[in-house]
Amino acid sequence: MSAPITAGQTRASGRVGGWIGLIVCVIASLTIAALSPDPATDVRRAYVDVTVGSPASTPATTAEVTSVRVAHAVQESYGDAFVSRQRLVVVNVEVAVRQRPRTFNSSVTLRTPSGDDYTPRDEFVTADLGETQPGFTRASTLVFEVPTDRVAGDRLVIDADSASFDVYATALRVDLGLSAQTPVATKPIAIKDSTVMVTP
Amino acid sequence: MSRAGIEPAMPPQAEHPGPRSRRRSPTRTRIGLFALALVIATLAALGTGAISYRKLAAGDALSATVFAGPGQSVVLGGYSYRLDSFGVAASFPAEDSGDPVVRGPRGSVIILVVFTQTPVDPRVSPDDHSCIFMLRGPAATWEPDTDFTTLMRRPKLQTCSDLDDDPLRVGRARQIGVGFVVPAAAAQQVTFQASIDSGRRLLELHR
Repeated sequence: MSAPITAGQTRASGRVGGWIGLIVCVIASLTIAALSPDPATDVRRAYVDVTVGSPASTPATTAEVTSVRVAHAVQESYGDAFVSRQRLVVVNVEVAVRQRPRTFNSSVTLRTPSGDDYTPRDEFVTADLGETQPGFTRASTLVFEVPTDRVAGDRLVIDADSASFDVYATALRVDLGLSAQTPVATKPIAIKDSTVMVTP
Repeated sequence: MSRAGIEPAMPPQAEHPGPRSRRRSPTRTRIGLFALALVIATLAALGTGAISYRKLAAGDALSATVFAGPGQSVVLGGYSYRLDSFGVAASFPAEDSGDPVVRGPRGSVIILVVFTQTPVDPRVSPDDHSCIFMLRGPAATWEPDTDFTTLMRRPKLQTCSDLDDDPLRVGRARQIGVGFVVPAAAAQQVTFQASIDSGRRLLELHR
């Protein structure tokens, strides 16, 4: 028959259990911190996926890619044509903004299937999305220059507003329907300045 | 011998349970405390998250707010502000009389807010004085326009900060004009706001 447990033994057992619990919690915290992705480098996004001709919406933005073309050269209304030895992906997009003004400069990219991001050529700043105020829709033309073998499967990504939380925000992603067989325009594509209209 | 003397003594806990029997077991106590801590932590996380999100959604966190209507003067942070006009129209005259009238996109209106700012407190330094202008509606916020209203006739000054060629001096009035372009349907319910000195004060000017 075992000896009865005294009150002192019970208190000692409780203290040991407390320390074990504390150590387990610390180890669990360290493990979670070590395994969790760094939000500064591994930005989480929920994507709204659409195709060309279909609008995609978040609470603050609606975007629709109206046409996509591939070319060797583009031409603004003034100056010489912009010619590339690679491919120029020309995306016409309309973006309606709600709630607060949005500047799209760094948040619009062309993403290849391998995950590389290309920003629009900054020679065409008057044609791109720029800043748009709430209640307005901006129709603009984005020109991306990408290597010839990286055109197929590209998608346009319009990231979340920079004022949003940096993680777990919603971005828009448009499958541009590009493939190796997509025809390349033989003449320069005309690039017009962006236009703004009141959102219908 | 009394009757009471021969009755067997009853264990006191049987009829009158004492404190020891009502005490919960240590394990149950720990679970209860853990659950309580979990509830408090969850409520604190939800509360701080909701507050942060509301601040983010509302824009700048502002403390002092002062309101003024047309012709009214108010004093805020050592400066007097008087709303001179709150113009709303589809078009405004151009700065140069030979130029066509200034318009926004079809279906929009231009809002031109003109107010006078006068430093009234000599103890306030103008060095770090700054404002962020915005137009607030029930569901949206607009920033000053930089596309359509640049050629419009209005006060040259579009900032409340101290400038070399237009300095802030006590008693010296300066007129400021800020232009916005908004959808016509939203123009009736907007309020002009100036977030002053990094959001420490808020000036609201109403039509």
